[in-house]
Amino acid sequence: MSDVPQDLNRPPPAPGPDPLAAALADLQPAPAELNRDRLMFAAGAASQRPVARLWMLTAGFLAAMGFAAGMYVRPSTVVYVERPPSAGAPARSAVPEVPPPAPERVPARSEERERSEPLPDLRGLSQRPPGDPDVARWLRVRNDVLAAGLGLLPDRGSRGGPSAPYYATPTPPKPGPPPQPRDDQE
Amino acid sequence: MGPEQLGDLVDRYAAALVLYARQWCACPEDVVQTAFLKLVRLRTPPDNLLPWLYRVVRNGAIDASRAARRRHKYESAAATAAPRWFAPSDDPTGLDARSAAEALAELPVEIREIIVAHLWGGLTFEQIAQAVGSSAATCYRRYAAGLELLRHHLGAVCPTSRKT
Repeated sequence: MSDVPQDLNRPPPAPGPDPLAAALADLQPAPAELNRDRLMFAAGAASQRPVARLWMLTAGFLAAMGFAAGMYVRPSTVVYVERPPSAGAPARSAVPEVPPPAPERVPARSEERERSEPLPDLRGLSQRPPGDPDVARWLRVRNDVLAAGLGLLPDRGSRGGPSAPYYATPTPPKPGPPPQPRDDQE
Repeated sequence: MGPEQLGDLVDRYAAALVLYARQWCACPEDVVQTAFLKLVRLRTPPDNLLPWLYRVVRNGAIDASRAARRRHKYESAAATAAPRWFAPSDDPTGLDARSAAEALAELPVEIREIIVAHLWGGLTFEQIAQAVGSSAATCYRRYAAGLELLRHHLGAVCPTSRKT
C-alpha cells in the first residue's frame, strides 16, 4: 500500500518509514562553516538597543539652552548704507570748510572785468626785494583769496576808470607847485 | 533572546539551514548568519521559530542567488558545484554522500527544498508549508514525488514494489 493519501487536500499523515528516506536522513549535512564566535559577537552588537545615557541628555540640554540664549540676546544688527558719491561733491579734506561769502560781494564776471580794467602789472613783483611792503601785502591777499575765495577782495573805489591795484600802498599825493593867484580874483 | 539560547539554536540548526540555503546560493553561511542576526534584532521572538528561520533563510538565499546572478553568472554555477553537501558517511552500507548530493542536485528546486527541510531540517509538512508559503498537502505531494525521483536516480528499489 502506498504512503500517499487518497485525499491530497487534507493534511497528510506522517509518512511511513521509507528506506530511502531513512538512508538519506542518515547522511549528516556538512558542518556549517560558520564562525561561531563572529556570529555571537555580531549578534551581541545587533542586540544593542539605542540607549539615551545621562551625558547625552545633558549635552543635548546644554546645547539647546545655549542656542536659545544666543537667539534671545542676539545683538541688534548694524546696517551699513553705501551712499553713492555725488558727481560734483568735492573730496573730503581735513581743512574745515569756510562758509561762502555773501553773494553781493562776489565780483562780476572776470571777462567783463578784464575788458574794463587792465590787470595790474605783477611782473615786477618778483624782482622786488622780499621786504617790500607791496610784495608782502600781495602775498597776504593771495593767501586770503586762496583760503576763503574771491569774496574777500575789496571793492573797486571808482566806477569806470582805472584804479590803483588793491595791493598797492596808497601813495600820498605829490606836492605840486603852489597855486597861482588868479587874475580875475583881483 | 539570550546568548545561550542563540548558541543552542546555532548548534542545532545551523548545519541544516546551511544545507537548505545551499539549494539556491553559493554563500549559504552568510545567509544563515544574517537570518540569525535578524532573529536577534526581533523584540519578540516569532511564535513558530523554526519555520520562521527557514523562511528567512529561503528568502535570503533566493535574494543572494539573484544578486549573484546579476553580478557574476559563474557564481550560480559554483553554487550547483558546491564542495560538499553531506559529510562522508561512516556506514559503508549506507548511501554514498556524493551520489546522494548529485541526485538531489538534479531535482527541481521546489521539490528539493521540501526534501531537505523535511529530512535534514526536521520540519513537519505544516512547518514547511509555513516556510515556503504553500499548503501542507502540496508539500507532501512534492516530497513524495521527489523521493520517487531520487529512487530512480539512485537505483534504489521501491519499497512498495518490493512488497508487491
